[in-house]
Amino acid sequence: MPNLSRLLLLVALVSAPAFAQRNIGEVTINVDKNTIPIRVSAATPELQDLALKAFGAHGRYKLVAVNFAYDIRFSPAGATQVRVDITKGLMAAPVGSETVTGTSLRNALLRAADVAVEKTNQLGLRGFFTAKLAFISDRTGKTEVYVADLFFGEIKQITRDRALMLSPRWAPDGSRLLCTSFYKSGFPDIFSIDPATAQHTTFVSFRGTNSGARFSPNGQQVAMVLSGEGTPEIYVSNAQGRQVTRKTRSDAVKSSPCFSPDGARLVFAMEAGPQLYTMAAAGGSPQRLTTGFSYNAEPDWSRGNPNRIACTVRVGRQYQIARYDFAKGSAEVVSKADFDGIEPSWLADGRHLVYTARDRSTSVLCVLDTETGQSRRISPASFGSALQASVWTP
Amino acid sequence: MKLVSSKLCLVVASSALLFAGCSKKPERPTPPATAMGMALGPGPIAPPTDVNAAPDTSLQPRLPDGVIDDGNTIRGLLQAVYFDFDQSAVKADQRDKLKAAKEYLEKNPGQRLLLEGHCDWQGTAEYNLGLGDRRASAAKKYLASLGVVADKLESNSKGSLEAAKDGNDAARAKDRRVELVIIKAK
Repeated sequence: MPNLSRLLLLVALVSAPAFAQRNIGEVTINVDKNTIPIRVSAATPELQDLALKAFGAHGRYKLVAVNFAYDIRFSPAGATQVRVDITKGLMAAPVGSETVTGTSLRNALLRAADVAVEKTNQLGLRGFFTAKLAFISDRTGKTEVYVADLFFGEIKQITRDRALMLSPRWAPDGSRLLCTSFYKSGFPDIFSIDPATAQHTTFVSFRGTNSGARFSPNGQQVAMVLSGEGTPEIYVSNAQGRQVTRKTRSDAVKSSPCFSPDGARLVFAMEAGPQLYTMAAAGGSPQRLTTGFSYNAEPDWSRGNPNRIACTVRVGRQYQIARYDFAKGSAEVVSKADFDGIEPSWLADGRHLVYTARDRSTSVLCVLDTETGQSRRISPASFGSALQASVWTP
Repeated sequence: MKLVSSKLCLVVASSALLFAGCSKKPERPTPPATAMGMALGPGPIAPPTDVNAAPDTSLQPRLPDGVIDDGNTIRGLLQAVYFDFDQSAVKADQRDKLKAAKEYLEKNPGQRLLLEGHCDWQGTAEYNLGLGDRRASAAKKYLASLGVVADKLESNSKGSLEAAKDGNDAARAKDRRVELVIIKAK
């Protein structure tokens, strides 16, 4: 009898992994041809862990122990300084050594890793590891705004409003966030929040729905969606939420306006479908982008590659990240996931983006390589839900 | 002393209602699932005594199931209007609910109506906020066509922000709605 129960226990233990939740957010693609094998190491376990996480999320590289094209070594050089040494090939030909200063040791490592990316990627890609995220989590039971670095270090809870809250967006200088919240009025209003002090100021509060606020690249204008005159329409204001002017006029729901990198145009989603349209930021007739998908939403125009717009499309019963390319005049699905991929936000290189991986029970933030489809989860399971990330590149 | 305690009761009861109004309505367990139900077994449960019979208290009968009165608004008394997936047109089989709302407003001239648009968790948050807005304004337009004056109506969109997260098809269908919330006279 004791033998039987021991056997049952063994069976239970062995079969347990079969019931484990699948690893949402992770998609591994085997691509050897276009990846560069690198060896990454650091002098301390903390730096080593972070460096491996960073390069592991970069689709251009493959982490190996032997037969590497580059050897990248990090070592602390002060309280907030990290030295990076890069050599090429088995002969260890020097490529570069640099000591980089950051706002913390962790930040210095990420900056040094960006230096290494720029010296080794051979495609002229900018580094993106130093990106800062603003995002939403309901880990306290209520939706609040948080900021963190790209690999979920230096996390700060910014709001404690206990109100429905969505889509925080950075000002281009990182000095404030605009978000939509039901705080105070109980209706969706746009607030400006200083991430350093958590101070809120009402940005716009008109009757109806006020949402989807985003800064222009120079920070002087804000595009938003207001329904106060009937249908949700696109409006543009100055950086203080004044001089609000209407830019669209039709009987169709508009959402998520985003400026082009030069600030001259807007892209937004509009019924029916919705479909994506671009329009002069000063106003004019909207022109449809032919994506080939029936549902297109949440466009984000890449600052790093002005030819690219990422958006969320419906594929069957799922939602996936698609990439529209002006050079090709078409869009393709780039998140090849068995979970929903939504809410894309480009990183600085115009190739990778942060998005939300969602299933019925949870939402997590991930980095997606839009060239290969590789996805790496960046928000840890222990954190709880994380969604609607906005990327700021200092 | 008696007066104080009954007032206290009222405060406790109304704050409980207020709290219920803020959070999601808890699902009521079926009697056999509760400790009491289990103790009683499947046998018949005695009907509750009518508390209104007590003459010298200010006890009130409980509101019908699903109705929440937080002092300022009443939810659940008027029936919600349901919509098809990604649609904002008021369906023919939903119109009677808006007619009933119009009649309610006529009988209660001091009260107003908040039309609160909702969507299921599918799709995307910002577009759903617009879709919820659109559903609320479709219900508002229909009420206006019935002759309800504009200052009796207020609208709001919650988008998919309060949608059941892991909802099945039936739960999602219930999330695609405009809730008719009564705003009590001040």
